Amino acid sequence: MLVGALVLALPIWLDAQVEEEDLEVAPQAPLPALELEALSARFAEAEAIFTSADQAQAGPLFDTLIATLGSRFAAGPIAEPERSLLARSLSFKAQLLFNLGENGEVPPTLRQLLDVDSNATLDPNIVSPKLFDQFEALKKSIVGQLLIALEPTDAIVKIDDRPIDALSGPIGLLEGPRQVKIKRPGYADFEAEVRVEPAKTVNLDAILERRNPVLRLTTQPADAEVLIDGQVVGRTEESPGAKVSREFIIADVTTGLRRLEVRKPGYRLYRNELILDELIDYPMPPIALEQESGKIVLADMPAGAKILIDGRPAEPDTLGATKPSLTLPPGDHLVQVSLGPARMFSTRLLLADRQTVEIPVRLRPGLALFNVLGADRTAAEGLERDLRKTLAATGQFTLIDQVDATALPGLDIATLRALAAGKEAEKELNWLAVQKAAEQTTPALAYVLAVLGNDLVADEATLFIWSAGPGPSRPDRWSLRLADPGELGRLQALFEARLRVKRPSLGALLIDSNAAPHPVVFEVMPEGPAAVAGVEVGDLVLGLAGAPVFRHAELEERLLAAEPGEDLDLAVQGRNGARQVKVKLGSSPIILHEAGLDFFPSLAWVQLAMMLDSTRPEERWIIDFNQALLLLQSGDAAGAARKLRDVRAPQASHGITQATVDYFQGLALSRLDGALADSAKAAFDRAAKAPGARLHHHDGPAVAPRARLHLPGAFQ
Amino acid sequence: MLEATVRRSLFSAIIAVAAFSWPESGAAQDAAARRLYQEAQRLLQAGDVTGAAGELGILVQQFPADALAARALLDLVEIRRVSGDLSGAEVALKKILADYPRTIEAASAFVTQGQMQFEAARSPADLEAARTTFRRVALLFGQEAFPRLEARIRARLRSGEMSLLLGDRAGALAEFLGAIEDEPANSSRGRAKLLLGRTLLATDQWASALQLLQELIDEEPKPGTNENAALATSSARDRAQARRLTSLAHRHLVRPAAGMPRWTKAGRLPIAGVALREPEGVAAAEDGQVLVTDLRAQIAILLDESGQVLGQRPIADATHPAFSQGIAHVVAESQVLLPFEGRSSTTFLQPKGNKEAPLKGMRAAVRGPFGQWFILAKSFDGLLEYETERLGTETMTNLQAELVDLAQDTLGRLHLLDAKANKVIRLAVDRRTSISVAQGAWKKPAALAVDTLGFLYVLDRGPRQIEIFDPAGKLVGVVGPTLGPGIELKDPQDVAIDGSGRLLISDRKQATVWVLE
Repeated sequence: MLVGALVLALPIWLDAQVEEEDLEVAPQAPLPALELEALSARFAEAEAIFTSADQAQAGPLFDTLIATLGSRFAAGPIAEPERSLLARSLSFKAQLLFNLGENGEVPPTLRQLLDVDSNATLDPNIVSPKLFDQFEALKKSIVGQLLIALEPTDAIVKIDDRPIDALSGPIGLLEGPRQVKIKRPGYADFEAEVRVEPAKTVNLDAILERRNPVLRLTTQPADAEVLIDGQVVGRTEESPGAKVSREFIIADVTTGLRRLEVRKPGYRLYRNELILDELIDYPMPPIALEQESGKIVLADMPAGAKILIDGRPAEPDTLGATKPSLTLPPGDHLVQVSLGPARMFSTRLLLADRQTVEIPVRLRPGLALFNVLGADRTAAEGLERDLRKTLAATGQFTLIDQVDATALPGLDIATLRALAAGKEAEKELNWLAVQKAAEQTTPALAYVLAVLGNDLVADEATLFIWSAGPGPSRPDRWSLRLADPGELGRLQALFEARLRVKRPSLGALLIDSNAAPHPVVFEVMPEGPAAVAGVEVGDLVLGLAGAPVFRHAELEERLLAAEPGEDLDLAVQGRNGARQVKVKLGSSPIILHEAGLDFFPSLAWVQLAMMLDSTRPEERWIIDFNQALLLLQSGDAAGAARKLRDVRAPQASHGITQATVDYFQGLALSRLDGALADSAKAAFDRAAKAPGARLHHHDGPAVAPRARLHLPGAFQ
Repeated sequence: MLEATVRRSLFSAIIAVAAFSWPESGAAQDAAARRLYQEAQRLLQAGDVTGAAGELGILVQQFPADALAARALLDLVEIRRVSGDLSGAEVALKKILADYPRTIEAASAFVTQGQMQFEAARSPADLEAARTTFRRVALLFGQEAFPRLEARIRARLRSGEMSLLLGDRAGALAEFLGAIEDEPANSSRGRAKLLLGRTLLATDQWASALQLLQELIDEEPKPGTNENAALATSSARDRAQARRLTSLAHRHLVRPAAGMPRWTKAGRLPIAGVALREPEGVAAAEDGQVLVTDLRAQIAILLDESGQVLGQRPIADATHPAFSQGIAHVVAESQVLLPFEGRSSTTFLQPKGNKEAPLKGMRAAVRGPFGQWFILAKSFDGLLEYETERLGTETMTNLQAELVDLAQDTLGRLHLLDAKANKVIRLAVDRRTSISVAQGAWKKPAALAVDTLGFLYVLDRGPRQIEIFDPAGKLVGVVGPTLGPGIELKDPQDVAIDGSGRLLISDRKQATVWVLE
């Protein structure tokens, strides 16, 4: 049923009001507020002088006011404040002339006053009775009255195109013919000419004829487009200081079923159907437009995390809920969640009106990707695209892209290119300052900055990759030929590489030999897994877990694929023939060394930093040890020495022990000031006295022979 | 043909240098300078060495401030060096060091200068001078200013090698270890591991050494890895040498420790398409090449490690084959012949008496680390040292020895087999000191070999045995006369050992070379 959907529109009489757009003769634009204020101030000054002893001095001021406002009055209807100011100026001017005895000038001024305001009066208590009488006499001789019987009473009445209040009684008018025009939306226009005679009252019956219904509405917010039956009929306007718009009147609507629509970008369409079956006014309740919006639900949201929507902090609608949600306007949004630079999440989404999107929040270390530097913008933008895609594809990081590199101190293209070419610029560029500045402007755990090889037609670029402090402040570098898509794959592999800090240990050392088809055991660690299983020096390892082994590298690869504690079947051959042994693999920490790193030290640092939370307290020394070595490799010997000072490895006679830490402490100290040479020597000395200590892992190279090389005279 | 070889080697040398230090990009290079440089490269590739040198000279003259100028000078050094213009090379080197002192090219220039000093060295003092030049690179081009500098690492390695030749093992080890531990990842790290491993092996730290060498062996790139061709070749060579060292250690250190024999099988050395008649001498190079001389067939045959014949030359009276600095040569009466290096030969003159007469009855010859020749001849009791073929002196005449064979180890030290005193004498590189390193009750000691680890092999024709001594002179094994089931030495003439520890014995009567593996 259509009627059920209709809004009841009650007929009421409109309050009287003047709508500027209804005037046939457009009034002059009102004076700017400042100008009117200045005129008012001048009037106040003139009035004050008028009431002083030096009354005559007010004359020029009133003259200026009369000249300024009078010329505007002569040019057409003026706004009420201006007209009032003009009338009052003329009134004072007449009094002044009278007081100064310039009687000849008084009548024209009084006449001018009545021209401006036919209903003007002089206060008999203030002005001279003589002047009062003179004015009243003039008024009687030229002013008559018009009394209008008006229906409807809120119609707008204009006499000689000047709006008139017709409801307050007779209207004083100068003698002569006067044009009366009456308008009211929904009614036929009324026009009449009346002849006003001095000191007489003319009566005019103005009963307007109703023609059509009128629809009156307001919107919240304003500036909404209004349509009737699909046709735009106008737009609502702001009402200063109000939330709702000024009233919007549709005067030319016809009776019947009408479709009303109100629309505004960013808001849902308002639509209604109205039955306008009477010739009355239909005022609508304010139309509150609903904002378009969608909803995002953040699943797995960690407690305490900050949310940024399009770069601005945002509070969820449901604080404390397991799945907080936010209502957002439709469109493209950048949603970021962070719990510090190591745990960040960022995603872009296109939200539609009324759509709810659930976003699983996966916190990963932040990786800031700076805009590519170089004037060849085609190449730069292509590389930015490729890097964004490549780094996003790793799934290891939360990418913060399009970061502006210009805020980084000392990083200009020339310096970076010099660095890329291995020039001396590195020492002149304070990477520590760069690292700090980057962290301040864009918190992240790792940073990638690319610079093109040249500015004309770039065919290569160099990537600088570094970690946040206190990680190594020297960046890793990676050269990239832009035309080779395989390079991005290699870069991706480097970013995807997973760092391990533990590995299985066999407890035996092997070599490849041209004198044997299989790896040969040349050392067995006392009480190690291999020794326990009965493996002996000289044994050939024929196979592992049923598969043959021909090279040590194969054996190593398979061992690394196993887990510490795993039982492995080993086929060995000794002087008494072949046999099978079962080895229970041990567990060894891995101490990184540059040659063994198959990815960037800066990224290794990031991974170590991330591991710290999930590492058992008794094994955190491995993380600290490795971070110290990354600092050492990056040239920060002091940072490495400080960190190594606090590393406590478990007491053991074999494998990675405190003597391993001592050895690296010796290396770090020996690269520092000569004053620490004794400390370095002491550290090497401790390492040299630990025959079972190993580098890299429990089955790694012995520490002692290397330590001895650092001790003058200790080498035999 | 030779010229083409020179051009090829020149171009590869320059490309190899460029691979280390080519300014990658971004340097403000004048386009004209770059074009000149590219033209020089093109001419080099086309074999026009003179033209290339001309372009490089113009570049240096007209664009002295360009980043490529120092690079061009360095190329000029290489061109002049390979062309034999050593003084011209020296001038260009000095110009780099004077005009571009704080550049990576200057660091490379020091390395080249050190290398030239080494190649021209005639005494330990010259070696010391070369080492000083190499050491200067680390002093002048430290890590603070040049965090990654390939030239510094190469200089450290060369300095270490000089130290080895000078007998300063500790100094050498420190340099090799420094190149691994103090320097960022670099393409010379493999070489450093090889040198460190080899040196540690010689200092009884064999477990550390083997692990280091095995690390290098394990670094074999996976198929399809994109690696610079020149670097790939040198890396492969280093890995192969490391593997030979581990093999040798396997035989000498691991197997005996496990109670196993050093060699587990014996057989005839297969020589495809050649029938030996009376094999006289046999020599083996570190890389497994084998050189055999046959007096009856009057030939010298060069084989690779797998037995493939690399070359065969008819030579009358060819005896005593040897490899000096990897080059095969034989002795033939009064000459030393390089049958596989352009067939060149050198006739040595008598060191005393009739100094215009050829030196007769040469038994053995090797070339020393300073380019000099050491020769044993029947008519002289002592060791003959020739700076040139005309300028020879007899040394060690006061020993009253009967020197029947000599061998040189990897450190350039000479080992002499004295049949009269039944001992092996080792001479230091400066030949100022000699010590007896092995002694035996030999009946007819005839041939001597020394391997990379310093183990000595003495062939005693009397009992038809080879006695094996460790580097300290301790007898650690005897081979022969029975080598295996049904294999017995009948008439052993010579003994050789290759880098992997394969033992080769020529047996004249059985017309074969036995190989123990």
